[in-house]
Amino acid sequence: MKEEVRLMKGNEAIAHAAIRYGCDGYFGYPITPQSEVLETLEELMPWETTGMVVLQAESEVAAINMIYGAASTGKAVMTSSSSPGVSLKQEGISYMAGASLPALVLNVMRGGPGLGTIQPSQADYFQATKGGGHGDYRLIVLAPSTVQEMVDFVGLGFDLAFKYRNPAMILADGIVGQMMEKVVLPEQRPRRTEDEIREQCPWAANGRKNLRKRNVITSLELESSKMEEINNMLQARYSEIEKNETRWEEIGVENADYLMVAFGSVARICDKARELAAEKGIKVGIIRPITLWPFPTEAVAKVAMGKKGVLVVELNAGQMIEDVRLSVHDSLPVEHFGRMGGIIPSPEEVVNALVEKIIKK
Amino acid sequence: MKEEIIIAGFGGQGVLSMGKILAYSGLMDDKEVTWMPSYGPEQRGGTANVTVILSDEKISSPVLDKYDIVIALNQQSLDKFGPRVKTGGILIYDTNGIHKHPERQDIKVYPIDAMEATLEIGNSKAYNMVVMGALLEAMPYKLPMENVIKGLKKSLPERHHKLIPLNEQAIEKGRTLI
Amino acid sequence: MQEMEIEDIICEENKVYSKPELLEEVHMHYCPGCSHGVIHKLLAEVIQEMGLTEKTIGISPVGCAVFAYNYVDVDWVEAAHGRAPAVATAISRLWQDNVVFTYQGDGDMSAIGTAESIHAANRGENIVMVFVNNAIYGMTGGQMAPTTLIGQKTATTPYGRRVDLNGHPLEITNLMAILDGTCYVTRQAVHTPAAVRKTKAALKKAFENAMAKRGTSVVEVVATCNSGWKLTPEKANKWMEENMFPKYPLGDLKNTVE
Repeated sequence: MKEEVRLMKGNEAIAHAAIRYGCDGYFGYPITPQSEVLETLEELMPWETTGMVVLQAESEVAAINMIYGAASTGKAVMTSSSSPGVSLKQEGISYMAGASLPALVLNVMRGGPGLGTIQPSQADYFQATKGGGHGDYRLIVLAPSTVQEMVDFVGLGFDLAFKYRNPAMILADGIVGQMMEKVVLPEQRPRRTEDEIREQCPWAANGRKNLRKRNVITSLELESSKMEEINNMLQARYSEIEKNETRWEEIGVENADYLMVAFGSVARICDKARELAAEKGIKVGIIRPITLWPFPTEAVAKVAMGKKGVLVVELNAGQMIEDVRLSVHDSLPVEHFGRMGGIIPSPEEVVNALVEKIIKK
Repeated sequence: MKEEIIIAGFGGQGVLSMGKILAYSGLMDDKEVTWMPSYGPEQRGGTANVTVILSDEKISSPVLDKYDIVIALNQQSLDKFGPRVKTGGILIYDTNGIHKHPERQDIKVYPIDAMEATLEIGNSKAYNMVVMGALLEAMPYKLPMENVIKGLKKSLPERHHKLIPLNEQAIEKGRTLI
Repeated sequence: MQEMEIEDIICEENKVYSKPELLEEVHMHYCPGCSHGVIHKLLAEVIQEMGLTEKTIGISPVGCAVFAYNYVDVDWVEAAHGRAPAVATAISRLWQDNVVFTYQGDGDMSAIGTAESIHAANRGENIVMVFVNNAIYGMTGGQMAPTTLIGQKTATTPYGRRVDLNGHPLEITNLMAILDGTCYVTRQAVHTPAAVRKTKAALKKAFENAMAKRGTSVVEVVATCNSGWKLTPEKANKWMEENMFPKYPLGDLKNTVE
């Protein structure tokens, strides 16, 4: 398949991207607002073309463990869900982190807690970036703000996951999942052959071909000193990822008096708010963290320097603001503006919040 | 060029698909496009709306306070979005079932009888394309018809391509309402 | 009479039995009298004899057999508790030329992993499910399993399992047998040489089915847990025959392949 320009929903785009980036398998369970991922894959029947396996699992728990199994063999596989389903997947995600497995998980966030709402939210920031499951681990967390980024981050997510042997997550929200935009689908990347997988992943448990030494994928180690060694190895890997893979976007920060920090689709609402603020003579710039973990701590600190205040805008009660505050310490006022329960703030609301919470203070 | 448009009405009026055809037509005309629906239970029988943005530049927020063009297809939508037309903007609304008409003087208001026009064509499914025709006529950005046809082809599944001439006819009919 | 040296006795032509090559040279952590060691040995034999060493991927459970990967020399994936059939599903579907088996205890198969077990079998995944049923949770210290018998004392049924409090023993293998996805469902034991031979034949059949993509094969092994049951190995075997076999009778429950 050649490169192609299409109009599609973020969720549909994920399905197309998975096929085109040579994904070996998708395992998922329906939940709004992301069911189009599985639906689109079933409609496209990639098993007839690239050979990609698609399976509707009996639960989110089964789906994440299918991913765990397939990733154990070196295959490039993914699952997707929305907040309540991603909670169910946390055990499997922790096991994958513990067993150093590359895989991709998509969360199209909806409002919680509990069953909550099917409308957009960003309330799973803590869950995605601070652990979620048990144990000291990190996911590489990518936050798309456009349908194009939904596509691009499937490729990037797999690349990073395999580069570091660590699970990656695309943390999207109902807005970017449900809206349609122009998107450039990449040229078909061929799926790796079994021999290529064996070469690329000598650690993988896919059968002792040529009677090589056996491979065991496990996260279990009962001897504490060895378990600490494994933890140290993981922490060293996380430092490496922090050093190499921190990504963010700066919008109009140079001559700005104020700064807004927002991720995903909310950063675009802030961008519109920036235009509206400029009409009122307020100069405000934006930092959009693209990797939520690793968080662009240094970039935020650097850009915030000399500004009069920072407004963190999120679809939650204040989660990323903790990382922003850790970045700038107490050097300037940092306030939060958020909506919850699936409510999306309008650009004007954001401007008003900036005025009320930062400028007037 | 940038057109920030919202189409609002009842679920089942073809609001979302009209938005999709509009967005696809814009795409065929090399524009940046965003189509942002209200989704969920609202789709089933209640109100439905979709924000479509067509632009030469990269599009920022898919969610807006004010619109260049509002298309309201019932009273509820007219009440909600009528006040949110930008000064100098355009309000198109279907007069059927409307008992409280807009009184704004700072915008262009186009009351249309899209239902009547649809009945004249003789296919109730063409309703949203009649409205689309009105929009294309009223909109300052002139979307070439050849790209609208391309957009229709892209939006409709292959098996419905035989309906394109009917849609085209509906669009032309809609243009006459402005 | 000519004197014999020890080397004359320990020689190749006198050999009647040897440890399978795929069984690792390490001490097993299993208690004396435990059935797991025998079942591991049978798996090692079957895999090697069928020439599947390069193709086999085992899924070990949570439970006493969590360390199965230390003993049988094939590739292994250690699954979260109960999830072995889901793990096996994906691997089996993505590696069509390989053969995948799960090794699950009664907690894994019939408590926490009931959904995964039933659904993998119902989809007819081309895998082997080895189900070791000793009617107790061995690893965590002898608590009640879904398969614990009525009246059986465990750490969590100190006065014996009661129907009104704990429900009935779950015959999950019988459930598997009625699913269209299973092609072979059998219940065996390893308490006598004859039983061991039958179990080996059953495992062989199950691996053949997986290779031939006939659907899911379930081999239940009714097993002892003398530590958990607080009996000597010998008495445990007797207790199993007298109490377990009436509830879990040995033999094929389903065999669609003759």
